[in-house]
Amino acid sequence: MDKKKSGLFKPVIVLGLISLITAGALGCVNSVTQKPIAELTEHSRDNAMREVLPADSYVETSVSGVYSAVVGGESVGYVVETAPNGFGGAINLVTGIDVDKITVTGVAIISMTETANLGTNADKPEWRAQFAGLSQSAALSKDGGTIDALTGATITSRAIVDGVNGALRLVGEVS
Amino acid sequence: MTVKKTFLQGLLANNPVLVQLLGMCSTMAISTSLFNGVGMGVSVLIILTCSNVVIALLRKIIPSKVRIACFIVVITGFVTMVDLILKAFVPALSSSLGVFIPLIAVNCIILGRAEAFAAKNTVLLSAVDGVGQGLGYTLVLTLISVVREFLGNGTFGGGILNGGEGFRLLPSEYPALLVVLPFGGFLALGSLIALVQYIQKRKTRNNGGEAIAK
Repeated sequence: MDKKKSGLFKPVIVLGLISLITAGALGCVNSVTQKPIAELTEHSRDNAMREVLPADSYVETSVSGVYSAVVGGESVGYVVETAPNGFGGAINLVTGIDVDKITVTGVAIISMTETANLGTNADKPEWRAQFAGLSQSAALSKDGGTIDALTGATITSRAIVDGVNGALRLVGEVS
Repeated sequence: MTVKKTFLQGLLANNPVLVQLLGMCSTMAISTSLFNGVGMGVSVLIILTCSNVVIALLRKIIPSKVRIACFIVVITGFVTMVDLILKAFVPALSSSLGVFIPLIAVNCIILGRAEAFAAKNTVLLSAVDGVGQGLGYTLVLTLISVVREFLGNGTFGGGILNGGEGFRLLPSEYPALLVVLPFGGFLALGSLIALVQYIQKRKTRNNGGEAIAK
């Protein structure tokens, strides 16, 4: 009877203790790294916004994810955050849109988990430059548009096109 | 002697990738540039050594019924720590390797060494095994990365040297994108395994020949 009990409880207790210690250690590491990670994310988001549409400050509008770019108290356009699904998960990108709400001023990627050296080439300035100056909506050249896809599979390229079109749609909702 | 032997085992004779054929997924997926190869290799080396040491320390306490669960808890703990530290202090590597850092948790090299070595050996030997196997993994990844980066992208040291662009060795119209895809990874890995097998076979044949001559 006694033997059976210990045979049942020992594994539970050992596994529980190991999990507890691991969780504690993770908590310690997290408390150290939390601040730098948050700062880095904020920093890269800020950089991306400044790249697509330079402004003094970015004020959130009534539509979530849409920021109004303000220079000297006046709105010069919008910066929209979208997260379309690429090949390896969500691609977090910002799209700059002119005050007319139809002209794209630029696209920048905050973070992505696309295939290295294939999908990640979307971050190259030459490729992203194709979006600047577009109006109404974007489309790949394969679909009769003007954007040259990165690869034949067009998964990442299509995701970013979707993200930009989504941004244009969102801006339209801003009153 | 055994320390030295354990260490050398990981480098070639019992190399995790070339001989045990473990960790194929990460080897295929990230060995596309020098920066990725070395970064992934070193991350695995650190996690493997830490988890080997802790598992060797606990090997007499852990009941065999729940050993795999215990190993996984220890391994995922270290993986998450490395992931958080990379995100905070080496963001370039973290964004370049993406999901493959958290995926080290299920990399069979780590669990394989825990089960096959650390659970049965002393802390010192397990640490040495971790470093040896980790270095073996890093070496193979670096080698495949350099070859694939050269043939598929025409550069050397992409992501780290020359301001992240790498040094261009081939004009950009020559490289074959195919090599960067998993297909090219299998080709490169297969060729490397064949080469190592050939060298080892020749070595043993030569040694055998000498023995007979004597």
